[in-house]
Amino acid sequence: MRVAITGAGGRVGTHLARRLASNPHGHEIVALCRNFLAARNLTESGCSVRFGSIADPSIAPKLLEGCDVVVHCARASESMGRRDSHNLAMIQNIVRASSVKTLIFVSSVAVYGNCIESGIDTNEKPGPVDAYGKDKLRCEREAMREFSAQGRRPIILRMGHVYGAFQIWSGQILNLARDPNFRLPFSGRLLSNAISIERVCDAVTALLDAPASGIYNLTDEPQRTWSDVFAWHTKSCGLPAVSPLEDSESFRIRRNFLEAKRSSLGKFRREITAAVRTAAIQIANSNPMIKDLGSALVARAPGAVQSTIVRRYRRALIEHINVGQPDMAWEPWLGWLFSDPAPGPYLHLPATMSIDADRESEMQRELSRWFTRWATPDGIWRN
Amino acid sequence: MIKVGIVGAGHVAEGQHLPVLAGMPDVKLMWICDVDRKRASTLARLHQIAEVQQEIANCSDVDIALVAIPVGYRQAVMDQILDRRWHAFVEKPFAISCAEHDRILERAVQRNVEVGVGFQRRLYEGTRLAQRIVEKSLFGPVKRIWATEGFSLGSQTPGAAPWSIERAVAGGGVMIETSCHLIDQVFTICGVVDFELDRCELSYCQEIDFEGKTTGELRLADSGRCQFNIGVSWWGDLYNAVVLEFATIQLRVSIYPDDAWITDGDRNLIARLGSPGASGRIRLTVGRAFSQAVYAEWRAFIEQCGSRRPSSVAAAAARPTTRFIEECYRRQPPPAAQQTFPKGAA
Repeated sequence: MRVAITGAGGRVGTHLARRLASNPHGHEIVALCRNFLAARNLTESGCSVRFGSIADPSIAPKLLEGCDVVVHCARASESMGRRDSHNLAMIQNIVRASSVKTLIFVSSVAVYGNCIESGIDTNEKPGPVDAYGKDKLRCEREAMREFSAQGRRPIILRMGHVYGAFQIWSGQILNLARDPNFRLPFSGRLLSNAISIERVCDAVTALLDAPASGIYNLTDEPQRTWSDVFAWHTKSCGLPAVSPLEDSESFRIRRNFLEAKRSSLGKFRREITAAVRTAAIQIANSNPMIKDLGSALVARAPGAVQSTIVRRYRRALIEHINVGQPDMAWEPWLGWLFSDPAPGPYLHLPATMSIDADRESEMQRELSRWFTRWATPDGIWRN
Repeated sequence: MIKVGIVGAGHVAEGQHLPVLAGMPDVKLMWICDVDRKRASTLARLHQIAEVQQEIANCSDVDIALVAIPVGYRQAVMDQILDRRWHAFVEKPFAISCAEHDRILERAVQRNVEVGVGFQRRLYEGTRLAQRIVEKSLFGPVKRIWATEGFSLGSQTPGAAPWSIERAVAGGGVMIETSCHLIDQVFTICGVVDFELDRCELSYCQEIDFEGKTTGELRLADSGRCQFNIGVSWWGDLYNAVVLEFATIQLRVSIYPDDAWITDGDRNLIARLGSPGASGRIRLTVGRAFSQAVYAEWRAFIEQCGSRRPSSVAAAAARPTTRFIEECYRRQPPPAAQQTFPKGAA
């Protein structure tokens, strides 16, 4: 089979093209790159390279000529307004290539939003919150609809957070690990949706030999906790372990992320309630007479009522205090550290494809070499 | 009302300048000119610009023209702009060579117009803070400078557009496209008057350089000297900051709009520097965010055009940067042999 990899000059695409070309299992690997600069890491890979953009309908047929399978890793390079339409155009141009029988679309768990809530976010009805996730979902639906209608095979891989050398998530994890203000939510106990780049390659290899239509989540197997993922990175790069964030604070921040995803009306209602509660606390705290009166009333209440009032007062007080300037800015993408696992079917690989100790060590060495290059000002001279 | 015309309807004009210019109450966007009429019309509709042209000769008169086209296409365009006595605000890189740099400035003087260059990192708050620290020798003399900037080529980075891999149009690769920002930032912080390039190693892919490492010595305005290491890469991520080493501490200035940090010898953060009263307020003369820096550079250039005094974006101040890059390419020009790709290359 002739297998085309779009976006073969990108972070995932380059690694995938080189891995598949080094062990093609009888397939011919064709890397599609924007230009020779994007393809500079593929010169000795053994795969053939075709230059051009599959978003361009005049070039796409030639680029995809004779290809049976397309592994679609590319994303458009236009400015934001045109990027989404170009991503859709790429799918449409792949659909038009009649030789292509199987499409493996590299999608993302971002289609579920930045903090998955079990029971609310589902595989069938994902709820992306950002432009990236929405665009991926749009492309998924286009691919499924068009390929299925023509009796061809669409495979959607909703990839978790890809880590390894040169991968964005590894850079972000290592930067967090070096930030003295960072604490790992829930002490890192939550299952991550992370996946190593090597496992991505294994998955694509498995699908080439035994394709199966449908939408699958793709993560490490067994799924690693965030603690495992962070420890893998810190140990590989000689960094100290990250400190844990206590559960009460973790729950509070997770609530913020989940509330941000919910409907505008619900969010508005919750904000008003929180504001009223906070204002009541502020008034009570700022006025000694009201505070004393309140304390006197609570002291005269039955025991059970007393406990409830005190408990709710304490929680409101903690929330009020925590409204102030945070030490750590929990940006939207960090919602993944508070997330439940991705819902729905996962792609399972044969046991023979599990990553052995040698491969694991090699991945860690690659990560360490990559980290050395950018972690210090003199990195480029040392590596 | 200051009339501004836009030459080039690419992503720099679209993403950086137009959103800022469209929001400035004393600026009127008069026309947008690009050989791609469709692209220009799309932007014109978005920002309610009345006039769309494909040639400068057909554009109505303005006070300032923004030149946001690849450096290899600029010569004729710049001549027309200056001959029509419009001030010119030119996107980086300013020029491919010192000869071209001087030619533009000379023509501007003859036509009595001002020329600015879009090195907006000069307006970053971190850059300004570091500049003041070095100027006043608050931490003593600078011993050494490390400056690196790198990223993996991706869909939104230099090297993506078709023109960016044609040397005659782009002027080169990572050195002219990316390192110009970094070099200008270093030179601005340190008040560099001259430099001596000891070593220059460029890595090429066909005729486009994608990685560069340079070392040498800088001569500073206060007659001091310091060693430098400047490295850039399109091959992968780098430290992405300017680090100034003093006797006992280091000052780290990000390549992004951000504060400056003081670190100890082991690069542990000791303190973050920010201007007093900066938190929670948008400062309009320096940039704590990218769009603020673009706004600040436009304000500076408009002021330069009015007062006829050089501002922080004056093009003349960018000449050492042009010379540095020209010297690198002179030392190590692109290889004569072409790199070949396996079968299937289109």
